[in-house]
Amino acid sequence: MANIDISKLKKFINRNSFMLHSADDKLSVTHIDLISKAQIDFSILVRDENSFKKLIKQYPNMQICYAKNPIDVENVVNAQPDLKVVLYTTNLAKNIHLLRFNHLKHIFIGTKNSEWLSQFNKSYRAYDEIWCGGEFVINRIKEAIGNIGHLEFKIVGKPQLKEIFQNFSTQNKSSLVLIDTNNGLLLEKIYYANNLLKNKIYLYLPKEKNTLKNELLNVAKSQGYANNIKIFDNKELVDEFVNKTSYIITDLKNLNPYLLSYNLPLIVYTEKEIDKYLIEPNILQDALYYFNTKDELLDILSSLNNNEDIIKEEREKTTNYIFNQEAILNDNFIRNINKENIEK
Amino acid sequence: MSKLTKLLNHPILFFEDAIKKKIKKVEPKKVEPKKPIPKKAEPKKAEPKKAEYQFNAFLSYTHLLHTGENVTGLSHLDLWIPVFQKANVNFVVLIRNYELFNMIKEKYPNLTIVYAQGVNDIKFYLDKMVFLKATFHPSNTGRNLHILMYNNLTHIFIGHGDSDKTASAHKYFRVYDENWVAGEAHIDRFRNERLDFRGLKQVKVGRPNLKETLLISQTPWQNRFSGNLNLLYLSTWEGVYEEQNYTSVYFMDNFFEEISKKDIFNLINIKLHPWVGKRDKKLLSTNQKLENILSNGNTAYKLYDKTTPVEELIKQSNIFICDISAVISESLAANAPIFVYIPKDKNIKLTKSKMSYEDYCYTFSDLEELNQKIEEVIINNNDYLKEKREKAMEYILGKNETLNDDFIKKLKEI
Repeated sequence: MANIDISKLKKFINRNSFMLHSADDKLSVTHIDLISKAQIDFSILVRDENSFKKLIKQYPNMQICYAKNPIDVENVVNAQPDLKVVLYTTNLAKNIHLLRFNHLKHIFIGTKNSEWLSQFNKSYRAYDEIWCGGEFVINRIKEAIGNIGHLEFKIVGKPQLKEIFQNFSTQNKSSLVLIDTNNGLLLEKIYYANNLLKNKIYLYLPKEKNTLKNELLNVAKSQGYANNIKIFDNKELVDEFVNKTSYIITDLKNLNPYLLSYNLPLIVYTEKEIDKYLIEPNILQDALYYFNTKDELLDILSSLNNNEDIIKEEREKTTNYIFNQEAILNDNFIRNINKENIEK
Repeated sequence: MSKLTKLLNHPILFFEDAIKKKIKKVEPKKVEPKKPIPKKAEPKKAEPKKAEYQFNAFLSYTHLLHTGENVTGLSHLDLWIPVFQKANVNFVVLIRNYELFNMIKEKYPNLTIVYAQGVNDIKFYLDKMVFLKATFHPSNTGRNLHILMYNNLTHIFIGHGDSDKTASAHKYFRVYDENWVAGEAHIDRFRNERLDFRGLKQVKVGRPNLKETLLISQTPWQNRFSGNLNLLYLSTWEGVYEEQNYTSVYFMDNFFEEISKKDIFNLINIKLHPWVGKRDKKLLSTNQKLENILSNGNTAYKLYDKTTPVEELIKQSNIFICDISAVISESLAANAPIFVYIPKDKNIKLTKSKMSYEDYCYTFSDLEELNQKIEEVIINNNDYLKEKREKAMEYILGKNETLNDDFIKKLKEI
């Protein structure tokens, strides 16, 4: 394959003012779909060959380019005379090939998990702006690099959550379970606690756990509980099932701040008391319920079923601190894009 | 003669021949020497991910000189290693290319050098350097990112020469804490970009590697080398794109043909950019062409290859002809007339400082203009840009800072 492919760019009336840049193979389609909503002319620059091939098949009508080295990147920029803004999803070494262009505005928009997974450092100062979920990431960056210089922050929440928020209708007495399925004992505790309360269970089990799935369903059948168990093997479906549940049960391995964004009580299994104090980012620690035994879980679930959610306020405060809900509902991400488009 | 006639008339000859033939038949066939079976090419030894030379975790290293370049980083390190050595600070050179690591190891056997390929390899060494305070970056490469991850360190960009090219002042510089520049000119380049660089501290330190040249330049150029005129021609290459093609090599052969027959210069030194001919293959023969021309002239000459450092040639010369590149500011340190080729038909993208080339260099766009200016400045001894050139030496090179060893002082302050 050639070092550069700009054949998908509009030739004669190229008015692209935005370009989405992806230096690795992880460009999420969510980003493309989101930006598409802004009704602007934009292109996508992909630096990974395989990812490029995949994306042009998936989006045959999009202006997707590929550039291998710095000179190719320069050619991609030169082919778009109206280009003003570049949106970056990851902070990788190759970004330097674009970040050197003074006439472009460089905006880091991150990924679904970049707020807590990124190691923020001085290299983020190369961007003009960082669009982030909430105050949490702003404070993390300020704490990490001290002198932020010119860097501007814009809170956009997690725009990909908007649909979940809109479709949300709290269902009572149902648990979404995301745990390490090698831990049979934990699964048993969760099963019996829910069973006793006649709670419905949405359980994620990867495909290779088919035997476990059958065993579990057999037990449930023998107890007349089979209708209350829904097993799914695709983690992407969490977003779908979360609308039907009233709380999430997880273990430390599967605990991810993103789960807080569903605005549901998050119940975490810990083996030892000290484990809860090791949870990172530590602002999560007061926003979670913890259990170790079946009885502890039973107590928490019973209280929640009785609408006694004692850490609700704390949890919502934390959630809002990480993912500003107002920004999500107000479409701040799209609004900012449109604003940039007008200012250009 | 048939066999029968032979037998009847010359029986002895007949039997002799018969024996000879028989012997011939039984003679062993010549055995063709076996072709040697070509040895299978040994698989290329995998490069290690990390390596060290004279690294001792118990020594408290405070300074880290990092290059993310491949072997082209050699010239950058050549520029700075002697200065760091002179400053007598406890420093480590961190290299990201194994070939360059070996080159530096051989060239500087007394240095502490570390080679680290990826993020984890860097972590391996940086975790051991607990006293480290600052990292110094001579160029902008993607790999710098792996060092910039260390928020506890002060990240300082030191560059590898002063240039007006647009690469000298762009947004990526904002990742560093400090930008150590030669003189005010470079700070003006940033100001003139009209961008927000408020997080980047600009520090004037002079050009330590030009100190010797600056000392030589205290003698007026006409009086150096016992009054001899030594011309140095430093070309650039033809660039990646035609619009960046600022080289004068296309017509300078005519100039040298003419000038070498006249009695103007005592010595002609020539060093072409090592990449001349990289894009335009017909330029590959330039050195040979110049050799042929100059060997037929009356003036002594020397053609240098890439191994000779430019600063050494500058010290030996007192008239300069350059193309647009960082060598102009290097030559400026010699405080002697500089003739700079400015192509007419090109849109030259430069970052602007307060002084342009026209202010302190004798610019030319063709041979005629060059000859005219040489006549005026050299033959008629009218160096009319002398005063402005001296101003430029302070403004661009930070002459005072250089002579005061400010770079070394700042290194020691860390």
